[in-house]
Amino acid sequence: MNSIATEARTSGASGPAESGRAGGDRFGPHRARRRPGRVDRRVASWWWVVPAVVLTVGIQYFGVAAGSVFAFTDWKGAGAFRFVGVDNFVAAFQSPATVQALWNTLFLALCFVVLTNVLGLALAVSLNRVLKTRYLMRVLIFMPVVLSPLAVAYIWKFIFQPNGPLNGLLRSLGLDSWAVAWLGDPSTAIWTIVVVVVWQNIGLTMVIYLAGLANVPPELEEAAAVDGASAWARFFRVVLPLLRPTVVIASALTLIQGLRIFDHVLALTGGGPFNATQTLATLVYKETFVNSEFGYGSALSLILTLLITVAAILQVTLLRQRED
Amino acid sequence: MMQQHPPSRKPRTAQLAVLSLAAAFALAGCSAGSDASSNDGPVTITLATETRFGETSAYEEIITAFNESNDQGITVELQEIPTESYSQTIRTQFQAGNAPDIIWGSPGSGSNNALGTFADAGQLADLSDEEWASASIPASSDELYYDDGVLSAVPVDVAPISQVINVTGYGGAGISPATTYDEVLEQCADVRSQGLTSLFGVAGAQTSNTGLLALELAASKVYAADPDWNEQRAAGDVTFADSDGWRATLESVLDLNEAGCFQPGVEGGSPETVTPEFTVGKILSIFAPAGIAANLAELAPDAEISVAAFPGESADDTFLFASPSNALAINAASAHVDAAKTLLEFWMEPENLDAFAEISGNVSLATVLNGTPVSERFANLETYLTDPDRNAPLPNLVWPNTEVYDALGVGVQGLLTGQATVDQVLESMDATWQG
Repeated sequence: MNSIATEARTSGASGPAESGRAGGDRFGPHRARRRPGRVDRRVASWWWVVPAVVLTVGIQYFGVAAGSVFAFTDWKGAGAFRFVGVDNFVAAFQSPATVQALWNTLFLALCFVVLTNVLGLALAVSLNRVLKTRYLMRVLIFMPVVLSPLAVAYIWKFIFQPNGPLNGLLRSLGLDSWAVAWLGDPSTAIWTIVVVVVWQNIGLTMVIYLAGLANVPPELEEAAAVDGASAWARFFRVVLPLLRPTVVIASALTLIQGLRIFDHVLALTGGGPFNATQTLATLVYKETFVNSEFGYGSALSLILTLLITVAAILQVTLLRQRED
Repeated sequence: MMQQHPPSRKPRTAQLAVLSLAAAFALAGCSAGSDASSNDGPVTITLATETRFGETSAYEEIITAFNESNDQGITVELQEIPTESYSQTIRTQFQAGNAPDIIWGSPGSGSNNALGTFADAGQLADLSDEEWASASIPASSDELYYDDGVLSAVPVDVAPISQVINVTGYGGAGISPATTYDEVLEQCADVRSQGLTSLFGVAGAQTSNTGLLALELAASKVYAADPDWNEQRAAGDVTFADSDGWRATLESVLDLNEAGCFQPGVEGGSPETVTPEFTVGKILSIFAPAGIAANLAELAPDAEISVAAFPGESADDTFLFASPSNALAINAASAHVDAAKTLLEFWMEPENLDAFAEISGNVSLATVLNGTPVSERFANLETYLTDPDRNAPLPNLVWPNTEVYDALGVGVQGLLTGQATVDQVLESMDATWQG
């Protein structure tokens, strides 16, 4: 206390009566006491963040950057390599297999987005209210989401086998002509993959839309019903517009997920028959780890990364429009 | 109020930096490779191989015998790596500098586990001056194992690539393994008429099996008449597209499919769908390495499982691929190259080669090198195994890159589904040939 008074006198402060000077003097010491605390917290926060930043940059971003460098080489995964410029990219777009894989990737992603969102929204609307068993139904529909994609794919592979349960059922119903080699027929193979991935992930979009529907006031629907709007009209003119932000998020997330489908394709068809279900992701795996073309595989991986990045940018753009 | 002393950040930062660097050096010093002991005294070396069917590894038997018998204090540890990730794991270990002392692989450069890739990168020890190594290479496999005169791996057995047949099923159908190609086509119809599934089972969804099917057909149609076809292709004197033999090979795939030789839905077939029907005799034969006959016999205790060569146009045209595809090589950066060589030299002794083949299910290398009697289980193949003009290594092993065999396997898929023509498949094989 004495030392503070002495400090105040020596600094020119005359005490509380001279409020301006005292205020200035009072702010000076207070500012000096606050600054070290704020800096301490900032430094402490950085120490918590640094390990995560180091790991993320070191493993993810450095790995991506290193892989991107190899995209311009002819590296075989062992020994020396040469820089070949954009030869790998030229070869990729000249390769019928790569072009086919690109189309398959876009096709699978489009089907995945449309079907998971439409069916997921339908399930969400159905299980939003009214049904007493809706909570049990939500759990059952969501359960496949938490299963391993590989395990799911192998189970469905068994179901789709030429002498598997599905064909057995079809034959028992007298539908022998429908009992085809689902995974070996180029006209059905990619659709079987669509069925499996949609089946496994429809619960995720359902949950997203349920969260969105929770924010739709039931009074608005009731008011529209009072005004004579049909169920369809209430949905398309009241509920759906209010769900727009949820639709944007769900569709953007499923688009990114759809572009990356890998496990199901690898387990169900391996990319066959005759590349009919080959995607960019499976082609990257095949070229890199089976054919040991690390340079070419890295180039394909870079192409896929750019494709997914464009999708992510679309998501950000749509979100900004929502905010506006 | 307690006075807060500003933390001495700089000294603390320095301490943490030093600790981090020390940890980094400690981690970098860790090695999963061989024990870095001195050259004198006991040494431990590692041998890596792929796992097979989860049973006792044939490699472990020889390793145990070596560990117990050698008086140089050398201990060998076996590392078993799942087949699907073996190639990538070994490649990563070489890049990281902690690869095993000895690795398994296939000779040449045409397979997924090609040792040629590591040899080209200078990562395998040169065995050219080792007499025991040179003596272990069959004359028909010189091209496979020597690259510009350098030998960097040794075979450990010989794997016949043949038909694996259900003898009991054949007997039940009243037929014996065909000796001519026309007889095969007749049997296909006969088997179907008896209500069985098919004469042959093919995992059409697996390009490795469709590729093997094509190679077994090519054995008689290409390499019986032209054993040096691969050399001609490497020299650019021939191509797949202008080869009558290869054209006939792929046309045979179409013929066999149209004749009902393959199971219904072959394009979607897999080992999981074919094996159950094979073990109960509904499918009588599969295209596979002969070595798995013993494994299939365990799955079919009520049936006799054996092997047979796929016939050519005539019995005289029949040709067999008997491939020394399992090889061991030494890591050039190993700290115990001499100890590794000691192990391999032990392995090349005839009695150890015989013992290894007995467990691996393949033909002993000693049989091919020294003309010792063929094992009873390969009695059907003795004619081809003992005549150097009737057998050769798998041709894809000497192809310059794996994409060629992949193009063949994928192409056969396309033939089965109607997505590709013979010309397209042959052209794709030429297009993927590097060099």
